[in-house]
Amino acid sequence: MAEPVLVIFFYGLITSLIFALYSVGFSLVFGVARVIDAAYGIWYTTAAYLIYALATRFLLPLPAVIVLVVASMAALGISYYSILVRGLKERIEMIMTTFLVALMVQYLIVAIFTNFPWSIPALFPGSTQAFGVSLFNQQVAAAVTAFLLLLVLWYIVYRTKIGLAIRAVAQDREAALLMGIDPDRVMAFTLALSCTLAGTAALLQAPNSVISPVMGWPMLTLAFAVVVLGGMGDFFGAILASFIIGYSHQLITNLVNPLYSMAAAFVAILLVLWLRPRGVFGRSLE
Amino acid sequence: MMVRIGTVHVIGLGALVALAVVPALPGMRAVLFPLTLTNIMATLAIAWNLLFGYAGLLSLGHSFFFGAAGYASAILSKYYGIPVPVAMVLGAAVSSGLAAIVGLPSLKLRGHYFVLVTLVLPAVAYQLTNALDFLGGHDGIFGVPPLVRDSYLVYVGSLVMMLASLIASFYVTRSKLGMEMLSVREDEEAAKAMGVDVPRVKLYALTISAFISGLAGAYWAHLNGVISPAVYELEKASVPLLMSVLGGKGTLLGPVIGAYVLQTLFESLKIEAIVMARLFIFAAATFVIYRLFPQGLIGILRRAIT
Amino acid sequence: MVILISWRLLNSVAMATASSQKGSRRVLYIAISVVVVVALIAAAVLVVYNPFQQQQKEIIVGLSLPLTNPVGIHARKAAEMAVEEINAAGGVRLKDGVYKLRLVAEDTNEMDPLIPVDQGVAAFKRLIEVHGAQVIVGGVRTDIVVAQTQLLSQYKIVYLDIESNQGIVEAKVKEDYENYKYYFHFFGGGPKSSAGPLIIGFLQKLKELSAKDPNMPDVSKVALLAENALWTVGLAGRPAGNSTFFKRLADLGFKLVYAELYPTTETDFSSYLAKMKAQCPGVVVFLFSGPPGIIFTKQWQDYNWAPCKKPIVFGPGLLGGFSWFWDQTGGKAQGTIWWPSTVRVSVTPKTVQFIDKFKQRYGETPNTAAIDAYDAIYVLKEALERAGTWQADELVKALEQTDYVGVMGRIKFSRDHHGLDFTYENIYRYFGQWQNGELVPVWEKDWPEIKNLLIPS
Repeated sequence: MAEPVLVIFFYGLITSLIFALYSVGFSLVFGVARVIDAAYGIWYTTAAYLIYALATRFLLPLPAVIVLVVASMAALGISYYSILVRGLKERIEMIMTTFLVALMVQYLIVAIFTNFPWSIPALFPGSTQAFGVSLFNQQVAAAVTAFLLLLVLWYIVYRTKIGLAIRAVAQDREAALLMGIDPDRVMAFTLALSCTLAGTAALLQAPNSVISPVMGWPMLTLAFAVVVLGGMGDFFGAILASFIIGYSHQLITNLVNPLYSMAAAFVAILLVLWLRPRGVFGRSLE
Repeated sequence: MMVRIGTVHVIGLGALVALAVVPALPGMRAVLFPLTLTNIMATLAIAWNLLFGYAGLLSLGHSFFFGAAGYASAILSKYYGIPVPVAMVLGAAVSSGLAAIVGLPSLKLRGHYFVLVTLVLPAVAYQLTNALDFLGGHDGIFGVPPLVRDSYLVYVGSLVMMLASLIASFYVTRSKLGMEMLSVREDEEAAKAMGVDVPRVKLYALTISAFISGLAGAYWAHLNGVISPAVYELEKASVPLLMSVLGGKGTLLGPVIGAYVLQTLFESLKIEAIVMARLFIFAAATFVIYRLFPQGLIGILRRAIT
Repeated sequence: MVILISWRLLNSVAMATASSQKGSRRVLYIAISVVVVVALIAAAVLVVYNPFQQQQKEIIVGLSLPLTNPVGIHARKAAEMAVEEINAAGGVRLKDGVYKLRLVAEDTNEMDPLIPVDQGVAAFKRLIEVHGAQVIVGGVRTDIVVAQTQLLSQYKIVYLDIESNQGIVEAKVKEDYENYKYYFHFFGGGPKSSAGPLIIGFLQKLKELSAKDPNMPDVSKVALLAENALWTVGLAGRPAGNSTFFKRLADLGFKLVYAELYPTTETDFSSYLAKMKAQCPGVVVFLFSGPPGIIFTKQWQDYNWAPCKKPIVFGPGLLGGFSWFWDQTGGKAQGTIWWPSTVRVSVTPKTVQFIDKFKQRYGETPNTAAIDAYDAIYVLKEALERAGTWQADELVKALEQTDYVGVMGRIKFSRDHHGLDFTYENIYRYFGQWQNGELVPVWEKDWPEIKNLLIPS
């Protein structure tokens, strides 16, 4: 039989990797485009419903679903930026507007799909074992994919020209402009990237589960928490913070009581905000 | 922000009288419950608007103050036998107290982090009331005693509560505190430079807003006879926002107009075909209003008058 | 509403006196929106006043159901079927003439995982105050039913509970007869319709079978997984496992090796399954009533149980026996056993007939809510005719004289007993197992042993 430690290790790893992928998207957008996207949760939800519709209603094969979801989310990100986000300057206005967008999209989803908890079948059914811990193939695939994508993401951000441009704009927008970088294009790209990441996280996490129109709000809150913990725009900070959150959740579910794990997560967020607003790593809050 | 005295005020008074008297007429029993709900939500919207429209603090979690008072009032009246009106005020006070406690550390944070706090608070409240049995657990608290048995009187009570909140917000916004709130909203740094005690102003705005929200929440609990963790869900947090923005944020009557418009539309759009789309229509309408007519419906109407 | 009418008057005045050019387009825009608003108000007023009401004698039956959920959908369809049949056969004969039955419905949204109790209360009030309902039929979630029945004496209205699995309100009928006498229960969970003894009986038979069959897992080791909601308190106990039911099981030689409550918003059962596996249970008693049930079942089926044998999942889980459940789990419910189960068995001459008729008309096997609602409407009709009136106090007396053989079995009420009684034949004495999309009866209260069991693998 599996030791609880191994169980926590593996499940924590899986949850944290997928969540890291999701929250890095939010962190990038926050740090680079200086955008607080209160609709980030709804992108996750939208992608999940898209997967449901394509896989279950239109019965498309897996590769088609993946391609379509990724492409749609990227397109969504770009249009979202161009049409809306670009014009928003002030923080509160931004949160309010994106929040209203989130509500609109959520209610649109309800209007089309109703509140019914639709079930998405696993893209990779069955399970395997590792060190006595049973792992669903869906989970294994998700973790592996998330890990690879994070590597790819790291490569993009730290080893490519566009990544350099992203970091430049994040650091000093005016200076970047002077250096010939078009901040507008960079931000559009970042937003497209973040929506795609949200969509990918949904692809990895939602199958073998059930979807609901409000599934994105806890995701948004936790992603926001990651930014608080790890510093905004900080790639490694976001990943580390995601792991902290992911593992804490697993620890409490396994060792204490699953009824309290979400409460604990939220209380922890409040405590960090109140006691150490500079984040766990002391990076400055902007 | 000054409204023309005269015609509008007379019409307002007439509307008030109509609102009080018409539902008492025979055959109008059906409107009592929806209108009572409308007044409760209008009160919540007034409270929310006080914080956002006047003090500039965006709250995406006013359901926290709404629900906390509801729970407090329910517990006090059901288990401790405290008379309902007293329990309601005490409940609102509990909400206010909680606001002060969470406000002290939270108001120091930058605007967007404060928003995050407001997003997290109802989530925490939901999880805790769900898990803890002495708060009724997952299924909440039943048998909450009503204010009075008569639906019409309950309705009038809600109307009085809404008016009282309106008058209270009128006085707050016209007072020195109100001016300070506005200056903080416009430019926090400049306000500080002019000697405004920004943290204190924000705290007062938050606690007053929480108190009024709490009254609404307590009223709601006694209206339904039951309160459960579901009160903390997004709906009670987003509805006051939608109502205020639609009606006109930063205005006195905006939240009330928004509340009545939304509720009326809600009731009349009960047609099978678009029931599911109702919420979408509201959100979309509010979005359009927010972007194109930031002054809300009141702004549109004002421009029509002048 | 009145404020808007006044503002509209103000606007027309303003428009009449305003100059044309500058704001003309905006004025037009405003005029259009004002017209729309007024039209909507008019519609709302019409809904309230309903001048086209009641051309003929009608009894309005209000359905308080989660209308967008399989439970509510089936209940409504079955109720519609019953009402059509009754009206076609001539209606209901009361003292002062023949009445037709008319259904109105309000959505309580009960099945939302966050269970908005206030929506249930609002729906209930709307049915009576807006639609003029004279009898209420409905009720699924325990907390909603408890909240709604609090109001019965205030409105003096009969309430036919078709689907809540609890005995709380039936107990109130005994303790507080005057205020709760209007309540009649058409489902299990009451003092004479408790699933508890049935489940114990079933588990015992299962244990006997597993002792004989080496392929079966060791059913004497029991795992309990229950949702953290009111209706599971009695059966599962608090903390989980601490209930009379489990004490009784322990006396009979069962060992509770795992007991856990899960939040109704749970989305992943990996950790729960891992802990369960560490104990190698033979049967998992699973109490659910929402989406997590689907997730758990899918994950249980796919989970790698080696070196244990895969445990049998069995549950008093309302939705487990619905065809919807089979669809949503993508068939992964194969091998799960549920109470209640609408197995296609001739409990009474009406049972199979109804199941087939419903399936033919609506394309799906009717679930428990459909059966209960159908019987409830017929019981109501009989009681109305017995009483000769729809006035609540008379109707209550008439309902207490009910001795009716319906689709589900024999329904007999009395002054002391407003619920079902499983000593009479009833479809809810059956346990069904999902086998290839069909619910196969594997045990009934009076069967000496289990039949047709499929061992999950």
